[in-house]
Amino acid sequence: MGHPHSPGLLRRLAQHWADYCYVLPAVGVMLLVIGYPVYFTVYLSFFSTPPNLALNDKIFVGLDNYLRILGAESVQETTVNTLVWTIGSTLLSFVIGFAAALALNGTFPGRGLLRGLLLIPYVISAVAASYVWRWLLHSDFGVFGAVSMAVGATDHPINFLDNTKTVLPALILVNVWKEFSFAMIMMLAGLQTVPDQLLRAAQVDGAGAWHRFWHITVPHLKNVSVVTVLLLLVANLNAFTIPYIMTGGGPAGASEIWITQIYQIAFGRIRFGLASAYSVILFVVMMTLGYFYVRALTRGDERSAE
Amino acid sequence: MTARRGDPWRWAGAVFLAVLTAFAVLPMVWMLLTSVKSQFAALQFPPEWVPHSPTLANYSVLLSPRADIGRDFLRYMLNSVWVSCASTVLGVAVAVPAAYAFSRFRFPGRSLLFYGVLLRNMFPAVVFLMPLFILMRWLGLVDTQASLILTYLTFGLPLSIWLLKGFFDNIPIQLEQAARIDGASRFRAFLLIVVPLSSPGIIATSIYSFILAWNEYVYALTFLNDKSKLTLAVGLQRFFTEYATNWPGLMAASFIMSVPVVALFLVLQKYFVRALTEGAVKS
Repeated sequence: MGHPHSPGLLRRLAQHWADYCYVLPAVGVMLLVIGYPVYFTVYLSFFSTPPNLALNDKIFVGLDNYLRILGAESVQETTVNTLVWTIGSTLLSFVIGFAAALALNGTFPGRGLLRGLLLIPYVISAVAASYVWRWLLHSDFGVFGAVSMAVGATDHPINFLDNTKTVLPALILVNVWKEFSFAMIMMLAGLQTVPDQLLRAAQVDGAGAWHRFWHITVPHLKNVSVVTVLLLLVANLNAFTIPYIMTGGGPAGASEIWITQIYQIAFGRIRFGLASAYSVILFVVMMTLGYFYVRALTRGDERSAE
Repeated sequence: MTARRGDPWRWAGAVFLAVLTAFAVLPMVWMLLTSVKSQFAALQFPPEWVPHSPTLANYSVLLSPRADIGRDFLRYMLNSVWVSCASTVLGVAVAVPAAYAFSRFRFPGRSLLFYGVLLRNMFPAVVFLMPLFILMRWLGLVDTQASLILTYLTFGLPLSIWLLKGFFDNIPIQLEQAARIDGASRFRAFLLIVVPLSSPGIIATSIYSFILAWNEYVYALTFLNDKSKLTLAVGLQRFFTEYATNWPGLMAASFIMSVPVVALFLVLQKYFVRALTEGAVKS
């Protein structure tokens, strides 16, 4: 960048007018579909909205919506679920994905095919995935029930999705199935940047496999790991389709997470004001993660932009 | 590198990959196997692991324009194609010049704008859902596919800008400089040199954006009501509730919905992987 705070900003703006023509359409669209919604959500969060959504009849309630969300017992239970869901899914996906990346790193016949097969769950729609897993976990005819009976773990099929103890782990399993290969791809790309000469030199110097991994490979992967974990965290916090289709938050709220609860408040109970306050809280959490994401991602970009 | 870590590691890696591949693929296999069963064969316990009398009846019902179910299903598929293509074309068309500007020009406010683009990845969809619903109602677009095409830009556009910027960054600026010296305007150099050279990137970005739109669920669930306007993602749900126990039919429909995405992905795996990891990895 030149001199962001130099005098004559107006002149510099005028100098660059042609540059803005390139970004103008994009900025216009983003203001409409991103800027305005963010503003309007914050605005609505201070109002009580009527159920028919006649917004002229909304009533200003100050911070009331926020206090109600933060004080609600059901929100606290949902928060625990959200933490379990988000952290559990993220950690498992990352560890499995990283391990898969290490195993796939290198050249052997069938590597491309294997990578492709592992990525299929990630590219298919979460809707299709949710139905397939509902069928796999079906209480009467599910594969999981049949297998657990065949190996003698139980004497009757288990109803994984209708049990407050097993429902969240079952959903996490589905989610990990869906997204571990994202972590794999990211880490695989990261592994490609580890300098081969360094590893070879260390080997010549007599460093063992574990040493090379820990002292050369791992430090090189720090940045990509941070980005991957942050993206997984955000994706899981934002996850809607799998919990919504598979259980709708049930049984008895045992798989309700923030997003599904907000959706329920907004489009089930048509309480847009309350749901907006809830969204804003979620938004603040996301932005905190977002700050670290941008920092990790743009490291080096500004230098190259000089 | 793993290979050089000695034999025990290699064996452990191979076993792990085998187990993981089974975990990834078997659910899809079960979807396919169920989809060629009759309703009666599907509802057996323990399950018929290999269908005794496989049938394509579920598929022919779904794909036949004469049956009621088939008519609806084909309509959903057309709707999905239309919505995904339109939002992709719109998003990429707007993103190409913007990404180019972010890649090449240094204008006041560039970083701020670009951080805005990046941060969009962090926004929860629900933040957009309510205001966009109200906006669509105000524009009279609720229950139209235009509402989806427009809202899919909320994720399609920032993503496209981000990916395309990465592709533009990799095109040597000297090519444009040479064209400028030969008398081409900056816009002509962009249009005639940069855009053609980055067409693989533009294709990869378009496909990524198409897949996201094709798979999108929550906006379609919220904005569409009219039976004839649903996309596949929400259309499947309707089949499910109406034929609550028709698992083979649902699996066949899920399979058909997955085919275009998986096919596009397998053909363009290299670009897709690059699109996914673009920016996160800097050597």
